[in-house]
Amino acid sequence: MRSAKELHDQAMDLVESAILERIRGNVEVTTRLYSEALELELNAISELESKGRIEEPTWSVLHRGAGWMAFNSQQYRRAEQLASKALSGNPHPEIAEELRDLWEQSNFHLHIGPVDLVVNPQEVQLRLVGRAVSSGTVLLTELVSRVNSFQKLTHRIVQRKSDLPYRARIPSDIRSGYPTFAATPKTGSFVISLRLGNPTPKPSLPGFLNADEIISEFLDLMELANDSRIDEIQQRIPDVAYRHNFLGLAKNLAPDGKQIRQVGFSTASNTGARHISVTTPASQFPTPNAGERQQHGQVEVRGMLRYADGSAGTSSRNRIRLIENRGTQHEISVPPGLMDDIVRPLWNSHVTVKGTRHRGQRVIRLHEIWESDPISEQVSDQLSVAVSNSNHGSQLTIF
Amino acid sequence: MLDLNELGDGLPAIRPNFGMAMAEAAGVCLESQGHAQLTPLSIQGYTVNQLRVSWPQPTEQTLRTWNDPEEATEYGSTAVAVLIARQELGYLAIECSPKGTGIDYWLGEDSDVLSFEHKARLEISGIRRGSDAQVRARVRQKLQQTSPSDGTLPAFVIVVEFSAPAAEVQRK
Repeated sequence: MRSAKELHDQAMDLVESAILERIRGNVEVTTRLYSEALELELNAISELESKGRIEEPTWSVLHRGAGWMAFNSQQYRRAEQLASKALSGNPHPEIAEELRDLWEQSNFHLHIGPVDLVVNPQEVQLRLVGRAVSSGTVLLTELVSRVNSFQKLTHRIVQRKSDLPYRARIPSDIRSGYPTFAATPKTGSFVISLRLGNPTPKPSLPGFLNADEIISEFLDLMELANDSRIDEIQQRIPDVAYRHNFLGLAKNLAPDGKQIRQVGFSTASNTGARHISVTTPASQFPTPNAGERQQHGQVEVRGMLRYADGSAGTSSRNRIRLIENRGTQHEISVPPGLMDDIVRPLWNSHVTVKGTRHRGQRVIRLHEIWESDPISEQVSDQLSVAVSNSNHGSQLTIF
Repeated sequence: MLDLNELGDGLPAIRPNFGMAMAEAAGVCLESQGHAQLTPLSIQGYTVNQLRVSWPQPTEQTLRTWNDPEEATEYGSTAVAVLIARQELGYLAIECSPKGTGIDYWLGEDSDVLSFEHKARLEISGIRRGSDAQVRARVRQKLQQTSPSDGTLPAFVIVVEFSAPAAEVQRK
């Protein structure tokens, strides 16, 4: 009889082979190898359990591993069960977090089958998971902010791919030519279809993008941001204003880790369905000028966001003013690409700004900005506006 | 000297053919940055050293296998990191477990018993071409992945950057 160690080692032999086959593009062999590895790993777990050896972190790490073997062989229900089983024990918080990630990703895949998620290459299905979501219902602000960011991001992709210089205002022909439509939401946790339009008639000019190309670029970039692969984002978006703009909007789309724990996107393409799951919280998303924080003092200020008059002269352009509750004012310079899509929607709101202040200078250089009004957060707990989805259409509900 | 060819002999948690494949990925990354054999790699942070690196010469087949830059960087950095752990920290990659589409390695002493107890995780990250600030940011991100109030499993973080080339080592 093989020991748990021997069974686990044999499982890992197969996992290594599966990784090499995946890299070589052999999808079917990869799936089969992961499936075989899973059976061995489950035997290793049984062997440990039969001897009463269920110490942590071993027990939860083995379940996490077996869960990923199940996930990678497309056995999402088994992956979900393994994650749940390990979470029902007493895993170390770090492993518990990783098990939740496995559970959510498995759950995401379990939901996409029955709801006929993938429709056509012009469509992205947005799925939200988290505390602000119950079956078919989502807190409206969580949905609307992400749909707005999605629309702006797709418009910026068209603008950049058309070799147009970055302009604060998105050109009107792009706004009208590439509209976003919301299709009837699906039942499930919360899934909504966003469909991209194309200009009619199709322009013959170079730079014209089909909706599927825009969606493919969008998904590629979101995947890079989710993995914090800033160097690859820099290669894909060399223009600093476009890059800042993308990072700001991507952060708006990302989960906050509390109300929303996962944002999923799915689409169809010529090579098959594509699903990506954004699980990195917005607070850990890459930010513009991250390197500056090493060299200069980082500051964080909170208050009402006011505009410093942009027409007052060059020095005041791209400047905003933040007024703390006790009246202290801060002048903040906004890097190119962030003002119109990221900062402007927050004017007259209570916000938190993270940035750097160079020695001897009073102006703060903005890195991150987000709405943070404790009073409205309290109110929103009591009076929540949610959008429900059902096959009979959307409805607004006030709780 | 950091001889990536030694991974062809395997480690307790890495089989010889997988070790050699990862060493080849590291070779692809290093040569993509214009490095020649025995180029010096500087190690900073928890341990400081400079080692000359050698790697299996990439063939046409190797280049085809590792034509995805993300995959090559991920597995190339793993090859460099597990050898740094062995040579500079004195720890072997002794256990492993799948995580996502990759493998999570644990450092410790060889044993016949399957256990992740009393072992340190090896958290690896690779950057094909990045500044010092990007390397530091990646290290910080790895160190901050778990809130200190949750407690952390003992771990070493190794971020490998291929253009310098350099590796930053930190203890969690």
